[in-house]
Amino acid sequence: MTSQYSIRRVDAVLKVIGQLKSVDFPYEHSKHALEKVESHFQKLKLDIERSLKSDSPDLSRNTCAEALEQTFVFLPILGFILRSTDIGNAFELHGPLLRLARTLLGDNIKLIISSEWEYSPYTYLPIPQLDQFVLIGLPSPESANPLVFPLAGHELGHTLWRYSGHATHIKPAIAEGIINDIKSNRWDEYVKTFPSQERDRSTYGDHPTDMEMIAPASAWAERQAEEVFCDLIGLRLFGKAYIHALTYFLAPGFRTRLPHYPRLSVRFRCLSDACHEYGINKPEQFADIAAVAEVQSDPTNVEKFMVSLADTALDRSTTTLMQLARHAAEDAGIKLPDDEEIDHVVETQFKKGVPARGQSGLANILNAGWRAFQDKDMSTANPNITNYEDFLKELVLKSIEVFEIENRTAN
Amino acid sequence: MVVKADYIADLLEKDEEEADPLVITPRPDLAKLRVSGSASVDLRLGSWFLMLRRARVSCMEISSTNSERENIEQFTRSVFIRFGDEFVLHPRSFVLGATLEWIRMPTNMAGIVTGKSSWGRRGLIIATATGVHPGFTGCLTLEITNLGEIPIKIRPGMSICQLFLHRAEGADQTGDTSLYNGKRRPVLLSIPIDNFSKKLSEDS
Repeated sequence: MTSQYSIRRVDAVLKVIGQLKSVDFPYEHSKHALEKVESHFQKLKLDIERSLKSDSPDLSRNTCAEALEQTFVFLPILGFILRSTDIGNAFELHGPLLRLARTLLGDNIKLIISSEWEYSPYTYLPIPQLDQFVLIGLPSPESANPLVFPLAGHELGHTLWRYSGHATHIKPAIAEGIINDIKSNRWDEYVKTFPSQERDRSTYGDHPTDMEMIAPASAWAERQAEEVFCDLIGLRLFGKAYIHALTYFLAPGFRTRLPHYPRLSVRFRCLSDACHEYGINKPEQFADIAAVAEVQSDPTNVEKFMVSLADTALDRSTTTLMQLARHAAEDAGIKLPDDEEIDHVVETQFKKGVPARGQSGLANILNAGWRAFQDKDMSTANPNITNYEDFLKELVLKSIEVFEIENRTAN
Repeated sequence: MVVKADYIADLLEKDEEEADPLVITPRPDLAKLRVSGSASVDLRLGSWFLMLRRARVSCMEISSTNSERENIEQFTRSVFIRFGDEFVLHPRSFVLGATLEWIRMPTNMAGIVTGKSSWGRRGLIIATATGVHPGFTGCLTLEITNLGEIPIKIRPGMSICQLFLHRAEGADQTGDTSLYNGKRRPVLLSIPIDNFSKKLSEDS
């Protein structure tokens, strides 16, 4: 009986997919993803049907459980795909961002950009059935605001983090660093936090349980390192526009500290250091957001200690992360935004109320957008425009489309 | 006075040097334009369309006391057609499109958009009311209808209409201040009721 329930549930998912296939897709990749998910569920249905014929109740139960789990996994993805067709999105971004994603991650990459109903840019981590797909969600109210598009660079960073194996490489280094930190600098604190652990300082770290004890700190430090790496990828891809977009999105900062997220002050300090390292002129309004105090809500002593260990571990990793992000972009041949080109766009095009043309990269356009947004002379340069901010967004979106047209029609 | 294509090409070529230039982006092929012998520049169809939702509204009522803006959003639907895809326009159907090109008019020029005879002879009528005023900047909204008897496929990027440019004389340097300015998608705005019409409608 329950097997029949499973088949009906899978059929219901397949029916939804069938309905979704009839919507207008702004680009093929959403449809391709849908077809992949459909094949996956058709196979799950076939597996259940086969298991029913096998006379093995265990096999049947496991197959049905697998189908149930997969429904939980894929339903949000189907919603994501549906929202990628929302007319409120800026479909113009797809071509240029896809080109950038392929340069960074490989020629086979497929990209879906959607609008999220969580107020945070988001990416789904690689899913085996959607291998080579990068799914980037921008918060719905901002999904057509080109000024926040540089945040997509951060999301590309998450995929790169996994594709490049940085996650695997950095894990042991972080754990070892935490052990050494405890041994060298935090021993008294460690003993006070874990009074029941009778460990000898000289042999601390040799026993597998030592690693288990610091597992939360290690896991948080890994997540924090990934976030900082993604910020640095965003910076390296989009230059100052990334910092402006991040500031726009996060200002004035959060009052609550989440252990797996680096402190904003650290994120912005890393970005500041990386500006120097990468040769990017720092924007002026850095200080505001970095000054916000983030407090953990009612942490235990152990949590406080673990977070402190994770934070220190992250501090030790930032130079490495900066180099990793730099090499990833350089190896892919991605250039920094060009200040001369950006000035040229603002002075000779945006100030005359026309979109950019002849640009060498998406980053130049987005940086020109931010420069124009912050330039007080821009609105007086276009006196006939009633809503200057909306006008500028239209100009930037049209510039992105022109960039795509020029790439498609070159040669 | 209508200006010829070679003159338009000259203006477009030096658009970055001028303070008040004529700009068409993406820029047309200037070499081809210069030798075309015509008095217009061809424009292409963009990807965004605005369709009327016939089932949502009984009629268009411009003197409605409700907010016109809200009404327009209720009875229209945006559609995006990607490059390489097509929009099938059935006989006697109507859709608003936009030019692929973003046009910036100098304050001493005006323009008129017309369809192309090659399309008109197939029943596709474009831009029945598109005057482009001095100082306008943005993509032009096109009124597209199929007056023929056979459905017509239209595709973003195809050449669909032509822009004739005229010299606009007068001392006033103010440009177009309408709300049609600065848009990349087709625009449908409410029709304002002026005092003259209001007074005519009042009980005497």
